[in-house]
Amino acid sequence: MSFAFDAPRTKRFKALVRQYPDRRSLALPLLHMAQDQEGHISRDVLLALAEMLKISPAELFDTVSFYSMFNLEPKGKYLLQVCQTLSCSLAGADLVVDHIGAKFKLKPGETTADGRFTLLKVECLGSCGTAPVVQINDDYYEKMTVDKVGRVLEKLS
Amino acid sequence: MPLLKIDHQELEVAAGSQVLEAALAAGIEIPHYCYHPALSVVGSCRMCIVEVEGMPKLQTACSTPIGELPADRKVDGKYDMVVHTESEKVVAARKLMLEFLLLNHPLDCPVCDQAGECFLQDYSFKYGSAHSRFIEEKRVRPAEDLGSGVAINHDRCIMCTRCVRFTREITGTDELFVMDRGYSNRIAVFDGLPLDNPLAGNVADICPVGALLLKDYMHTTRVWHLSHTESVCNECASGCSITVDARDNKIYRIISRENPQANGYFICDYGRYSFHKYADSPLTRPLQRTKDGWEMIDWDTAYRQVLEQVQATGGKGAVRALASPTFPNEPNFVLGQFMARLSDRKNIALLPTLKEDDQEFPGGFRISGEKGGNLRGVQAMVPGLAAAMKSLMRGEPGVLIALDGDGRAHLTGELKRLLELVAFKVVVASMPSDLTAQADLVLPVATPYAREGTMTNDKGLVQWLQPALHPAGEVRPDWQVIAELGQLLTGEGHLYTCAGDVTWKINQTTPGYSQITRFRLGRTGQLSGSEAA
Amino acid sequence: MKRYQPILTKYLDEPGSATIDFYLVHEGYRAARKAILEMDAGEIIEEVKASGLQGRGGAGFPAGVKWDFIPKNSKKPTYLINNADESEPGTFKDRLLMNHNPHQMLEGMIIASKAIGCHLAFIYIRGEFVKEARLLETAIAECRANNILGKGIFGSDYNLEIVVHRGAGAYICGEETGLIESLEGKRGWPRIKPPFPAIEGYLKSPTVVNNVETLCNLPHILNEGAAWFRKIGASKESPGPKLYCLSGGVQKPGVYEAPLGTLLETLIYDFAGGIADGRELKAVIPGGSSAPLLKADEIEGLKMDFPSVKAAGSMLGSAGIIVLDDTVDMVQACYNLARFYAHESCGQCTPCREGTTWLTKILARFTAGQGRLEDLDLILEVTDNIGGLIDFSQGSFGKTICPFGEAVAWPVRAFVEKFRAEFEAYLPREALA
Repeated sequence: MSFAFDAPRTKRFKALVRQYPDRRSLALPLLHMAQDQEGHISRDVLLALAEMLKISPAELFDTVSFYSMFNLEPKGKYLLQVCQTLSCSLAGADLVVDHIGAKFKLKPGETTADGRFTLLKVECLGSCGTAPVVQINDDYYEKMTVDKVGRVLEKLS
Repeated sequence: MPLLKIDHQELEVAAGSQVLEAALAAGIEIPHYCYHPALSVVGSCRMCIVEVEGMPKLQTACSTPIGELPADRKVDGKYDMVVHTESEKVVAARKLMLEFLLLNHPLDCPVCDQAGECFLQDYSFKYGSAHSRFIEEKRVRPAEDLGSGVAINHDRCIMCTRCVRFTREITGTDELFVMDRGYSNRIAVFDGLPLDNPLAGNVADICPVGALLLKDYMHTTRVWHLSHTESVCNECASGCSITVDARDNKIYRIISRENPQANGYFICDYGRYSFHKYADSPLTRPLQRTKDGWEMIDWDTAYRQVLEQVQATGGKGAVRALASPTFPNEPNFVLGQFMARLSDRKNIALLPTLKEDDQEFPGGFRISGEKGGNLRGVQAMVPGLAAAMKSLMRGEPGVLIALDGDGRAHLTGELKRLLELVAFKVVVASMPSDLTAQADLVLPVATPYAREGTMTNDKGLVQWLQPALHPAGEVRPDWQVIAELGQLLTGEGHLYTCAGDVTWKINQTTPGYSQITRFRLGRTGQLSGSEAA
Repeated sequence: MKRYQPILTKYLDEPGSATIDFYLVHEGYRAARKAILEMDAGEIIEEVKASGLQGRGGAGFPAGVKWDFIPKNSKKPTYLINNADESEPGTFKDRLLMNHNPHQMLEGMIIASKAIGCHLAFIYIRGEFVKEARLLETAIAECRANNILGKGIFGSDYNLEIVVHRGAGAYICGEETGLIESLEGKRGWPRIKPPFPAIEGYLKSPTVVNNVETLCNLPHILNEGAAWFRKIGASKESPGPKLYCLSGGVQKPGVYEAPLGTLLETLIYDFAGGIADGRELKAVIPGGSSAPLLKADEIEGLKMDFPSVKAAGSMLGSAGIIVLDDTVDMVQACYNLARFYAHESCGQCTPCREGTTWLTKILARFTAGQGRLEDLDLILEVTDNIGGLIDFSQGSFGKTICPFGEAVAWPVRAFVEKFRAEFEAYLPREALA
């Protein structure tokens, strides 16, 4: 199965080409767009984007695999990323991880069988003043406690 | 020009050159892994750290440019930079860098093909520690096939990225890349797009450790058992300098040999693996065609045959010859000489060989499309060869003496007509081929890597071919067989004592070769003709 | 003494502060208009140099001097990159500045662009800040609609476009050459220097990378003058307003604006309400996780500006202040940071790639109760081999391509040296026998 951007994203791609002084600089923007559309960066996505960027698939993979935000495998509908770096850890991030883990019977890195939730422990999300923080897809949920994260998850489930 | 002091040596260097570059050019060894003169500088292995006076931090020699200081700021009143490569601080840092590189290394040198020519081994021997402070579990990653006959042993890789830069900068094929980040970094190919280019084998040559290996060579021998012969590849007209590694009269591998005038640092895979096709040639004694097939005969019988056939088929004036661009200059020269005596060079032409398009790579490497590697040489040895084939078609059917192309003769329509026209075909060859298949008499000579003599590449560079093997059976050197035929047919002519003897004669008589002597060729050759100026 | 009035976060709590209408009403873009219409590049550079503004990203390099490195008659285009890749643990000020007043930052970018002759500027924002990236896109569209960005801005003949470029999860892309590589669509492996970005940066063109907070200061400097700016704070060498990020064991974690040179104790006890739950202060990481921590008795009278913190044996860095109270297990905390750095090491150069993971493995073993006494010295030696000895008086001695080596070595070393007893307490009994 091959990959192509949908119509609005194709339009966005064309706009980006005009904005940037060179093609390869579009790598990260295009990868974000593709992941947004497909949920993850598949082999087909890489092949198609490499062509759009005028680089080899190998060079693109070199880039993609460096960044922690690009998923090379499908993830759950809700990606629960719990920050575990110092300030969040001091504020009880482990309790949040344990709570989510127990609720969905997940270990960090795993996805629920129904494909709805993926639990990840991640490094600093840059929100240490409102620790602990959980990023769910694009949104930050700050000053999380076991109770609060429980309520957030209820709304999602 | 800036004046650099490295340890106790003073060097004048070009402004802007890097310390490592300058040191290596002057023969000063500064340990390094990621630096390679043909590749971009990344400064990542941190092995070439040196102490530069006036800089508190140790510097990587590969990325420290030397500039000219104003007169009042010179170090010790005269130096633009003072570098210490073996100070206590440097040696300590180097030792620690090695410790890092060896943390996860399996230390499987007893079964590693790189053992004996490994920079991890060598630098560890010089700077390393016999005991590791790393007590954690070592990382184990399975070896992988990367394609084009190259395998990677990830556990031995030190992430110098020479191989990645090679496929990006030299071949432009971009197959190799660094995958993941940090400690998980590893060399990889994209799923379904393996290493696939005709220079791929070089990644194993430039790998400073035992990570990238040629499957062809893997586990076949130990490097210290090999004899290393410096020679020249003649698979095309680029004439790359090579080292032929052999043991017990068998070649195990061919690797590139640095030569700025010829190939630079690399060779192609056609040349690299060419030795396989010349291995175990069945041509070990002269062969005579009989109605029942081939019959082995001795050299005297063979030569007698030639003489009888010449007398029976139109005499010496009808003898035709084909010089070959796949043979060294020496046999071609001798052939040209005796054909001059026989028929004023009217009956000598060039054996056709395959001509393809050149393959050029972004890094400047070129595989010549001219598969007669010594084309330029043979043209210099025998003047007027180019358009001579037609003149061979005239006159009585006679004897043809052809230097075969190691199986690389191109049977063109013209050549086929010639073969039909002549009465008796003598083929001087190292390998069975389409041409020997049509011969009446085959005179066996040494295979390419058992030859001695000179080759001229398409830029006019003359290099010395050193034999890496002893000829098998009763095989004789090419120049000797031609000289013996010449004496047989003309009743005169010099019988040379060795290839160099012919080279000397070439030097004395051939335009453009007056500078060419065995001694002057050295390891990297000498330009012939007008290029010499 | 008159109470300090926030400058950068003046409108923090006002509704609608992120819109251009709000900003224009509050005299927004006055400085940018002046820079474009009335000042030439040299004048702007001189003004900013005179103000003494130091980069707020961590290194504290004088901003005007950095601009001055840009070749004056370059035939290549010049680029400004706004470093909004806020990723240093303990730091969360730039996100706030972008969220509440994106136009202040954009105005700063217009001024900086004029100073270096840039017509295409980028905001490299960390990938996780999706909301902020959208907000910036909106703010830029507002500017374009008001002739503040685009062609012939403010009616001049000066063109300027700003592009929001999202990162994708890599701490090292906060390092300016790693950031440039990333912007070029590559892995964020820092470059060897020279050449410096001012000569060969993005697409081999002259490039300046400035932090969000640095840029936010510029409108105020042009509006109020360099002399006014110099007077803010305790020291003329290191002046200006500063956003301090307080997290960890304080009552009220958050971002607080105060002049450079404010006492660390004031920040902890007055602004952030002191140590939470009646605990005691044990140590402070004063400038983001890369800064060596200071013990409670080392912060007495400590002024939070670049030279003072350096003199105290640490660094102001990004002013990410992580407060560690007496319940914090220093071995676990050290392990937490080492693990962060191992995860974020780009892996390009040997000492950092191998050393960060080695440290983490040793510390993991330690926390599992399997440490050895000699491991403590080993940790110190490994940190030296990555980041060089910690001796601020002599400069840095890192053995790596970029400052990441120091960034991991310094904090880990400080933890072990200053809280050795806690590490020893983790040793199994037989190790001490």
